[in-house]
Amino acid sequence: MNLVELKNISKIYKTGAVKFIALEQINLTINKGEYLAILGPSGSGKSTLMHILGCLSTPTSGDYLLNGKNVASLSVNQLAKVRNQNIGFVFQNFNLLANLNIVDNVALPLVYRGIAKEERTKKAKELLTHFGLGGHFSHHANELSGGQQQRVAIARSLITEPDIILADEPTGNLDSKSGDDVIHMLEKLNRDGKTIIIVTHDEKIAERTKQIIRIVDGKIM
Amino acid sequence: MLINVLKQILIDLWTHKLRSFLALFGIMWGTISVIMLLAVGNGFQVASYRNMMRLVDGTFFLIPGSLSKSYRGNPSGRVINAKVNIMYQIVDKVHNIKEITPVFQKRSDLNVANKKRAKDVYGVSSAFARLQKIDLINSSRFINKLDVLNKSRVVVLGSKVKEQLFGDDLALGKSITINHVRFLVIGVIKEGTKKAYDWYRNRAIIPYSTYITMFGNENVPYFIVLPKASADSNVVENNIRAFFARHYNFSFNDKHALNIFSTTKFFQFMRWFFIGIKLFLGLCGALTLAVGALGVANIMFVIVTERRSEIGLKMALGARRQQILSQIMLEALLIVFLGGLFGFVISSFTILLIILIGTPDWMGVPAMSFDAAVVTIFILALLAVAAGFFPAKQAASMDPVEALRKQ
Ligand SMILES: Nc1ncnc2c1ncn2[C@@H]1O[C@H](COP(=O)(O)OP(=O)(O)OP(=O)(O)O)[C@@H](O)[C@H]1O
Ligand SMILES: [Mg+2]
Repeated sequence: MNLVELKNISKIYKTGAVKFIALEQINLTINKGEYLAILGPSGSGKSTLMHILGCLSTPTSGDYLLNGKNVASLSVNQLAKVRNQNIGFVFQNFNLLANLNIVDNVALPLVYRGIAKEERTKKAKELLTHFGLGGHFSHHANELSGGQQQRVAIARSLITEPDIILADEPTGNLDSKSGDDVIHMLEKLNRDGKTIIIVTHDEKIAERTKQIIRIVDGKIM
Repeated sequence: MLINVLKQILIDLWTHKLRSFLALFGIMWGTISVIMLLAVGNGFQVASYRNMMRLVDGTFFLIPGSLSKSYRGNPSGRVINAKVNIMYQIVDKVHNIKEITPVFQKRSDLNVANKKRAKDVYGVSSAFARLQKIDLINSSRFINKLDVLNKSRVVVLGSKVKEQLFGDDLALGKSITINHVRFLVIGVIKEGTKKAYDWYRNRAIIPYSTYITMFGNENVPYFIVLPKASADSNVVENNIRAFFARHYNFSFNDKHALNIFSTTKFFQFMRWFFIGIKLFLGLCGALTLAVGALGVANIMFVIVTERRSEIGLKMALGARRQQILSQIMLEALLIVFLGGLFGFVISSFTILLIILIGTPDWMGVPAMSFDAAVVTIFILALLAVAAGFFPAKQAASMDPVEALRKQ
């Protein structure tokens, strides 16, 4: 069974009377353990596709099978549950909460699973230690470098042991050295069996993945 | 979990001190308004009831006046001159009268040794003490029937009058003069307990027969009547009116010829009157509080807008709508709770302070009643939910993609 199967996915934005086709008839199959780049110029629809893959938005038409289950027509709360259990997000701007320390940031997804505080904290600390942030537990995000912040964000995306990691321009806000570190981390995670999808407009990053999906004007080339 | 959430909210509130303070202040001020207004209303009610205590519930005041319209040859404007002996006919002809007294009243000079005071002197019957709930100090007595019969020159003094004329000395058995006529002090009115109001503390009371002899005026200004407990007060009132109308030849409907003041009706009226006053005061306070709640709602909207990306992130991480909703709600509830708490504390101290400083008699002592507290808490809870709900609803219905989009 395929992990992800997109069948004739379209996304149309309506602004007043104007319709804008952001994605048109996307067909895509992603297997477990895949390491895939979605590559395309700005405004081509990469993020839109990622939002659908991440169940943050629903397609205007088409079917999205995740683990064989159609999620295209789920309710908002069911989508929230899928996001919590099956998806891990890594964002360009890290999206860490400034008022929490990094342990609580990493543990946050488990709050929505109703997992006890001690267990959440223990797991978050293990992950942070694994990523070389063992000495920074009480730090807040703004006390860390960009590279460190993105590592925290990756730790957060992993804490729920999701099926897929979705990373939208994960190196976009980083210098090349930290960007490389983050890519290495993702590669290592993939070697360990994680399914990883990177959204990027950077050819060099895309070339390091196992498969490249090129997208232009909402269509796969 | 909850402790951490609360701690986090408190930190957020502390981070935006001015904003939080304004929100808190609105609620605090509103709470103080509600509590203080209700407390003052309460004190006023208690004080007024105390002042009305002498209007023993169930009694009638019969105040003869003059004809407002001519009736069977009796011209309009004719004054009803009721003499004391009409009393016996009232008791005789109107059934179910338990007690009756005429009440005369005149300012007179009271003298003891070289002390002289001008006081209101009342001329009444022996029933008066019961009709006006007058309590005497030990070993005194009130005017009795024999005193009235003999036109005895005996006097009962209000506690303040006794104090002014005799100081700490015993007054019972001593004599004083009223307008240069010698009287024997037979009774002293007990000082009202706990500042309880007593109307007669600054007055002196003598038998009405003695009064008439002294002052020569036989026309009774008013009577106080108490019907038997078993009697229907409306029926008695009508019978009294009918008796007077027949006896003095005026129309039964001529209220001006005989003004009957029913304490029962008055107390009923006062009850509604005070419910009205308290409702009005409570409403004024509640509106102030509502304005405060509007402030909280406004600030919650600001918070929701500010936290767009935070809310978007939480949604991406799997927070359900209810979880977003309850977070914002909790925050609004906490602001309102804190504001309300401060309001309660400050009001309590203010009330204490007012009690310490003292208030005029008519105003009474402000008191935070249990009812007022319950009403305030109820209004607060209601407003908190309202103030939190709409911003929280807005937060929860955000589209996660939109919320995550950088501005
Ligand atoms: N809510 C929306 N309403 C209308 N149009 C939208 C909306 N969201 C995205 N679009 C449009 O859809 C197109 C694709 O947007 P998308 O964000 O997916 O592009 P992208 O490939 O991620 O670009 P970038 O590399 O700049 O992030 C853009 O032209 C954008 O203007
Ligand atoms: Mg994008």
